[in-house]
Amino acid sequence: MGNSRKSKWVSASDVGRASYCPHYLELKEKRTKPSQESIEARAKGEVSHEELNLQAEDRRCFVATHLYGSDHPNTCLLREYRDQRLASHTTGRVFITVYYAISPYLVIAARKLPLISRFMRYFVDWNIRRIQERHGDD
Amino acid sequence: MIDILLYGLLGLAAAALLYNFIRRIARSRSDLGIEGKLIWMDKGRSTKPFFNQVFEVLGKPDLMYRVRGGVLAVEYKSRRGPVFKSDVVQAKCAALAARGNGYQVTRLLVKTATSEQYIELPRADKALFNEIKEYVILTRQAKAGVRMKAWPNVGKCRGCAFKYDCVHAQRK
Repeated sequence: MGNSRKSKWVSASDVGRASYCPHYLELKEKRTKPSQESIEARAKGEVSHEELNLQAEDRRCFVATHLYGSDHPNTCLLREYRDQRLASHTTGRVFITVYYAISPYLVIAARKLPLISRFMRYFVDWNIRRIQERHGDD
Repeated sequence: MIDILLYGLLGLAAAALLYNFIRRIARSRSDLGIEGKLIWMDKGRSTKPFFNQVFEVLGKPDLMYRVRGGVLAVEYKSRRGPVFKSDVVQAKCAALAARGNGYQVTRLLVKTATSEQYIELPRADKALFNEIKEYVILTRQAKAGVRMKAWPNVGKCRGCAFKYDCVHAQRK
């Protein structure tokens, strides 16, 4: 009884696959080994979902996250500056767009060359000081 | 004079290409453009799925937003290309599962890297279940060990995880 009850449960992904090709499910039930391409595609998909989550939360701040960490006060301060100041005018939005296009590559380069990290840290620290001064003035 | 026109034309073409490039970047990296408050997010394996005890389906959308008139569930596929029927069926089933946990999902957004589709859902859970019922039955049959029909198609088979072990797979 317990088994038959348990087997009635179906997952959304399997139901989706049933509409794609029911034979897929038969092969899955027989524990057929998935192809290497599909394993790689799945791993890529997981990365894309993480990116989607970052996009949804808009917690992106690639350089600051690389330099200080995702929840560091400096990273949060820069996110706040982005949302409240930069995103409020066209030039700022263009800057945000270009920044998000470039910054992932900057971070990749910085991971390989620590000198770039040091330079970025110097520049970002200087900007943070400026933002804090402005906050102080306000 | 012709030189200036030619350079001008080339400049315009270059500007158009650059504009398109920036627009593409902006489109793929900007926020999701959903007007609503993010209320739930699938954070991978650590996030447990929703269970709908009535219809005995489980699943989880990728994101859920509180929007005017209810909840919008997002199903994201990282591949390029159109939204397939199977994506929509999966999203509807996940929405039904979420409804079992109190999220009144009224709208779906199924999104690939290059296209997206909004779908209005029926208010009643039973009506939503009826839209996916035949596939739920097929899934239960497969789990019970029933032999399943293949719906081979060159495009489908190319992307199938079991294409090397499937006798029906169409390889071209």
